[in-house]
Amino acid sequence: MPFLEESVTNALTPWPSLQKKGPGRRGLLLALAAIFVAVHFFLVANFATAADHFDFASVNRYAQQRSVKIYGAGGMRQLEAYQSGMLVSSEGHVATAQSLVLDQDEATVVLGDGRRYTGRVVGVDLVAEVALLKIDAEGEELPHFDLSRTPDVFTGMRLLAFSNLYNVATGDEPVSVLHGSLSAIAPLEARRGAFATRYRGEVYIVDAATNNPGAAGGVLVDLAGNPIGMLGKEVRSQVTGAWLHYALPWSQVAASVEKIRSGRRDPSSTELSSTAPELPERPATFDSLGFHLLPNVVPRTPPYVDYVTQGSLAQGAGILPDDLVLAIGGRITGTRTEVERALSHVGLGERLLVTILRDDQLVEVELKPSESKE
Amino acid sequence: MNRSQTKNRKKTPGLAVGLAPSCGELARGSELTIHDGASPTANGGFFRLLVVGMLLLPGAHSSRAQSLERTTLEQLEEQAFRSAVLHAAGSIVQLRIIGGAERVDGVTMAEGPTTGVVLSSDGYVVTSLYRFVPPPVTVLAILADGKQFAAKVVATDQSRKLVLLKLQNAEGLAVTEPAPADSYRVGQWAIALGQTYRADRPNVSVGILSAKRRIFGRALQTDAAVSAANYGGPLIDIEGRVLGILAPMSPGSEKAIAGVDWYDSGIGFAVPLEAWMPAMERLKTGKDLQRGVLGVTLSEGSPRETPAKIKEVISQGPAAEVGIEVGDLVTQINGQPIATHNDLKFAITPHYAGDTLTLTLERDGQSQEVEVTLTTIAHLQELAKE
Repeated sequence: MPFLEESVTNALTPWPSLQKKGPGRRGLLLALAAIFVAVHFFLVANFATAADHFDFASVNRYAQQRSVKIYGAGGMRQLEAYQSGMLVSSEGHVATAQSLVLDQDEATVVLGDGRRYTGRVVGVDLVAEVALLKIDAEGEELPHFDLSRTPDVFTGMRLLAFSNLYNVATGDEPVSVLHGSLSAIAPLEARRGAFATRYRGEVYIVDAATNNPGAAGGVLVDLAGNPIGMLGKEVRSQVTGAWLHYALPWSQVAASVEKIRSGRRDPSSTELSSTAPELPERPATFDSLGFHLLPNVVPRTPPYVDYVTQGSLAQGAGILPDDLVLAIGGRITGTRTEVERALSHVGLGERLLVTILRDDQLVEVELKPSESKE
Repeated sequence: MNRSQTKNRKKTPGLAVGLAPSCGELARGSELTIHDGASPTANGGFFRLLVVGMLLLPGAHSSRAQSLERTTLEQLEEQAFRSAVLHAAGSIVQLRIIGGAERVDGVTMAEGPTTGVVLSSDGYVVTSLYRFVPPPVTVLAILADGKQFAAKVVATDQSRKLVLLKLQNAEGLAVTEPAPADSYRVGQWAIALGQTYRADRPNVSVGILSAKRRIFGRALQTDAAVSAANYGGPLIDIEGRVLGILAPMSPGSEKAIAGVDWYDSGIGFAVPLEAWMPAMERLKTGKDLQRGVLGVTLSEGSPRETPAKIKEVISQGPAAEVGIEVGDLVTQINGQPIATHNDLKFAITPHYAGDTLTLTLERDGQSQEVEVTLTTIAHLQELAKE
């Protein structure tokens, strides 16, 4: 319980000055003080398990004490040489985003109280882009976020994000805090420059400008200070085209840290298979199904059927030229490219449900390959 | 916090959910009703005694008491957000745009779906014009329960940047509930919803109503994050009723996608829905709605100071047709006093071409009323060519 010691100490602080008021008063106050302490224990114990809610100042202090600033390589070609991180063990493990800032395998870690340490990179999870550093704070019990927490997360919940965005906290002072709400829990569909992000699992999308230069690796907490996630890097959403403010879920942060700490240095292979669905070795093709779409003549070419092969599955199912293919096997297809992508998920010879638009009507047809055609 | 502060704050009554938020500040006002926020297991009377005891002493305890009360308040707020979203969620649809442009006016358009709001159980849906310039090949509407409908464009409100769609063969859809226009209060909670990141539930952005009558009387303003993630979606109140339909807008331009560069900036706009419902009925006829114009220019001056004196009357335009002359001073429109150029612009801009307004004019010291039917800018441009 992080606040307990602090609160009890504060409770007793006014005591000496009140002693002057005489013994009768003193007895009463002593009793009251005792009641305070009792109530404190009672409340703290109660709320530690129930909700863990505290006032903003306390939550802010709590999170800032556990947030760090990281300075490392970079600083060229508009790449920042700084980012954010968080303490995740009492012996000085720091979780952060994997990035070029950590390229030297060492980085300067500045704690919330301004103390500086050298952080050594323990390992990285290349898919989730989580890195773990270790600072050498011998004999110290460092305050840290609990990786075993399983916070209650829901759309619309209010959040606080702690990070050193834009390196505004240039000196020894703690990181900045932003407030917002959880906008959505959705798969990460984003790009960094021309490249799609590797992690395709669900992330927490936030309605405040949490992801800015230097914010990556910062912590997202609920109003009680419970860690919810780790702020991601600057990416653009493929869905909206806009800058995306998101965080990696806390369970993923914990899993990545656990993998790195347990010495599995290359978790990427297992990770990839768990985040991306398995594709069939021999996927269905236009030729195997017997319909062909208009060529990709313009960006976002709508998936109109160009022609249907005589005697094909498509013809048997009643697909006609000029049909617009709107879904394949339940995957919505707005472009020719999306049809190709959807087909890559369908094995050759599998039954296939195709949704088409014909004369403003949605029509579903089923392509049923017979055994002999496989 | 010291005692005098505590005392002062006592004057602030408990915070009603639905007032403007300021994460910490307002919540502090209600700290003294701690018994409501205490553990349900505690005996009320005994607990109150303890609380009174705590408040008698300065120090950390008042802040502790405060945090307990705030817990309740914030939980209530979050609960209120949740139930508001739930109330509205059933009538929001995801719209998949098939075809459509990749870039418009040099702006790269979103690739993902956009959002619509169901206005009738038989499938009339309103959305933002944002993804409909140029018109897409077709639109697929996906309900939260997975049902899919082909959607056709019925007509477009070019002034308010909204498009009316009709879902083909739809029936029994959940219909949205517009919030009454007289309930709008600047500072009230305003939650922006989109159905963009997933089809089964909305994405949520929480803010407040920042202003009314923006974009010359056509839009509400909010500080909730508004972007391609929720254009076409509803801005709802804390009860889940729809204040307005989110759309990119700009006070400086009437272009279809003007205002997209203000995404997520703290300045977002929504077309107030209740007042727009008659416009929806007009769109059902299949004819687009355009901003209405009078066909006059005003004498030079400052928009906020100079009286609305007519400098030019465009030949055969609406004003000319009803005998408005150069030198006339517009003093009222539909009974509302007009003192400046700005007043005139605010009074006319919300109206569509085809609307008839009553203008009170002053000519040679005499006051007279005329009825004018507004026309479109395109029509005026044609007249100017002749």
